[in-house]
Amino acid sequence: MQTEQTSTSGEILRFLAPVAIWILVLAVLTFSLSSISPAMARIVTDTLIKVVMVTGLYIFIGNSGILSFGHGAFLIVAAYASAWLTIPPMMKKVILPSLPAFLQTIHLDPFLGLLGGIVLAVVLALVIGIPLMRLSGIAASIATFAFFVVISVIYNNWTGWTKGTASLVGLPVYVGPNVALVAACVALLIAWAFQQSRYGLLLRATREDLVAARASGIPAERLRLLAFVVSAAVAALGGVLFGHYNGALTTANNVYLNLSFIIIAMLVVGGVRSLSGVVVGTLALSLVAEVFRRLEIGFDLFGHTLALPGGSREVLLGFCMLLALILRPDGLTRGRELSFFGKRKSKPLVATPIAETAQ
Amino acid sequence: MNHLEIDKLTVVYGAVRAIAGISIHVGHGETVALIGPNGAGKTSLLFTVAGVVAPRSGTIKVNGQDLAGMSAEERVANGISVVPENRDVFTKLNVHENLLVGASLRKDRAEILADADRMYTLFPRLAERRQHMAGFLSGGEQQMLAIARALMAHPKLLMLDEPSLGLAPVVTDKVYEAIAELKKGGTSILLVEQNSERAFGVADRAYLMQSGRLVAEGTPAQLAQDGLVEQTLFGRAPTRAAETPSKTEVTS
Amino acid sequence: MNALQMVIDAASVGGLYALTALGLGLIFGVIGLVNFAYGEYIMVGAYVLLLTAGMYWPFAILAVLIFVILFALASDWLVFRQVRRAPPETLMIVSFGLSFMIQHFYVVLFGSLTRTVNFLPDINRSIEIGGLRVAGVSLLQIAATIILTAALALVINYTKIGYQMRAVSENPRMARLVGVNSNRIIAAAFAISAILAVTVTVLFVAQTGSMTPFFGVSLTMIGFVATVIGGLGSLPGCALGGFLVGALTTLLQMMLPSDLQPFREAFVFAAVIIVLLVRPQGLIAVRSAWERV
Repeated sequence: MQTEQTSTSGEILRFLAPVAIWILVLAVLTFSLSSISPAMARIVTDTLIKVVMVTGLYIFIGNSGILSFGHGAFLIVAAYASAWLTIPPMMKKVILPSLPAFLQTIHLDPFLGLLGGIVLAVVLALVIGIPLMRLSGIAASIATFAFFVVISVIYNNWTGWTKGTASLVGLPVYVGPNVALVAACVALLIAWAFQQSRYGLLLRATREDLVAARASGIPAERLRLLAFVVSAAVAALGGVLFGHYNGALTTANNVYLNLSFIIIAMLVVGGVRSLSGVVVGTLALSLVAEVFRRLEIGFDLFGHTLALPGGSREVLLGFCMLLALILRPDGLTRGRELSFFGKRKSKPLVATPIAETAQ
Repeated sequence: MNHLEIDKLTVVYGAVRAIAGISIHVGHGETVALIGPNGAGKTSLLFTVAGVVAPRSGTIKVNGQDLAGMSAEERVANGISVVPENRDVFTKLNVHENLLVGASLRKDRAEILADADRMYTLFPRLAERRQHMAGFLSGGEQQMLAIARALMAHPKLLMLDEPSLGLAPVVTDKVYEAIAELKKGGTSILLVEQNSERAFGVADRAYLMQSGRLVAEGTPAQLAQDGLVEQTLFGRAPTRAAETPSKTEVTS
Repeated sequence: MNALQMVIDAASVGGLYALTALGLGLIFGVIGLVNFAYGEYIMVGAYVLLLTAGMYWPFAILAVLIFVILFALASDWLVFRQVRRAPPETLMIVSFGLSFMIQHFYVVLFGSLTRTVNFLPDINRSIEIGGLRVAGVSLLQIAATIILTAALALVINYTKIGYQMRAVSENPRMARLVGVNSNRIIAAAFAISAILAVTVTVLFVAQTGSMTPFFGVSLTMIGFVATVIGGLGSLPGCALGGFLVGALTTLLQMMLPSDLQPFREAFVFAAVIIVLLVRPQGLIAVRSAWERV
């Protein structure tokens, strides 16, 4: 076996390369676009928050191969937990009178509120994950969806604690493009670390062939649980940021159901099997959605306002999703990561008949 | 004009060249064997002729007509049938339905039922298990069912992929009896096998294949001579007692 | 409340869910596609009823049938046929994207507010049977479910299309190799599922008289959940799943105290989780669902 002389810094660079590139791309986009206008800054922040959410989803789906429709639950749970912890107690007394005493009086700074949200999501992931990780395939997906519905219905109707479809206001707004960028980078690094670790590799083996992996002694359920918990934590981060970016929370209009599906769509369109897919899918669909939103608002051309009819931007967005997947069923990235140092193109292996080599 | 004419066929799966420029032919009514070890590309060849794998380059002609662009269903209509390696019987259908589905392209109901009866005569074990789900049949019975199913389409060119695989010798006898019957009936047969002995028993000609390439061609008698078959299948020259007497060293 | 009354209510709601589950299960069985757009087949049919309001009802139903069958066939031909060999998550998002598109297209056409139509109002009348007052439409729902399930079972098990469908669902490549025209069989499956969808549309609109572009979504979700707990790949399982979800929903409606009523769905879906944990392969396990090790 050849031993390559590589410096440690070279190794680290090679290891981090794909994710470092995306972080760089996101940073450049953030700094250049958010200074254009407050509206652009909002779009950038929103997209970055979606990157966090999609990354969270990817940590589980990409590595375990199980489609989870349940991550919306972590968004909800974490967001409201952070709300309870960070809304000023005087406001809570007025808008959420039925909160228990200790939640009424507690007032933490945003970062601790964030941690609180993540911790609650992690606990929930453990509780629901332990039984759920035994399932595979469609049964697992439906179970995660059922889990989401349960949480969603509870939070929708427990108006004493959440105000349900009314708006829960008073969340400190601390999320702007920079905070969101930091969060996105942290999320991407966590995802990369997990997927490159032993745990990620073994888990991906179960994705390919569960029976063979189990027969090789890989503890599938435990690895899935680990991925589920980590992914819940990252998704929770996204959920908390979402709340503190809007300054308010609501369950109206199936917002979390729609969010759940949009983030899955972003992941699948980007390519479910690679971290690059997360960024590519989120950026692509966010860009397309924004373009169509502008078209719906309308623009002036020669004194006339041209605008798409209301509701057509979703039609076009759906159409673009379809088109992307028809043309690239494996996702835009085809499930591959960026290779920084150039792909070595290998020629098709030609089999050599044994008869020629034997004398 | 040959029944089947394959010219410089190349099939690639991703980074692996499964078949590298093979040319073989099967004459009308001929039984041709294709012998080679695992991974030689024999199954790929059959699937390419059947139309479920697209070749990278090369032509496949049946009765002079190029098959390029023809779907698998159309090829069945043109008299090409294949019995795959895993039998691939439909376990969700019973034996009788498996036979009927083999005749999917035919419209003559009465004749189809008559053909089914003929299959039951040819393979009495299938008659016994008529209403049973195909998944419950033994390996040998499934093999017979797979062949019978292929025959229901009245193929003019029948391709069999390792029909003796995993079967007990007694059962293999039955299978090869059926193949011999088909040969008598004038069907052209392309027979892929690792079991060269059996294949040579029915084949008029044979090809030896290895790692996607043709190694030799000839009648079974010719090929059996130089130990080429063993070399192709096992990758070594056979020991010939006259030339290299075996020495056993005793170490003390 | 009368136990028998409860059974009839449960059966009628369950029947609707069972029909939806059958339509979903059929397509999933034949090509492994989770068709999120199935609810849209139901929805677009309702809007045809809106547009044909006032027409003599058999003609209205005929119009719905023709439109929805063509609609379903078009969705297969234009969209699903392009992704036949795609991985399962892609298929899911494709059908979700299609569903999303169709819903919002109808928002553009008809607006997102509720529209109402007076369709067959008479069948909502209560009928007196043995001392019970039963809504006519409930009986109709039960009858329709029984008839269509039986018809579907007959088609699948005793006709040429039936065994060809089973062959394609098990091994599409081998089906092609024996000459089965997979595309035509799949189109037939879509047409049959469209017929089932139309039944749901007619019963739903007759009963509620209203529609929005989004009303198909929750039916699809419940239908799909019912399919999975009943046993994917098993048509009787789909019907059973539908009835169970309907029964559970009705039962909870009767028995939950009023302050817990809004949480009814949560209970139903919690029950779904429990069923899946106890029997992940579904209540009617299909042999081929498990890998032979």
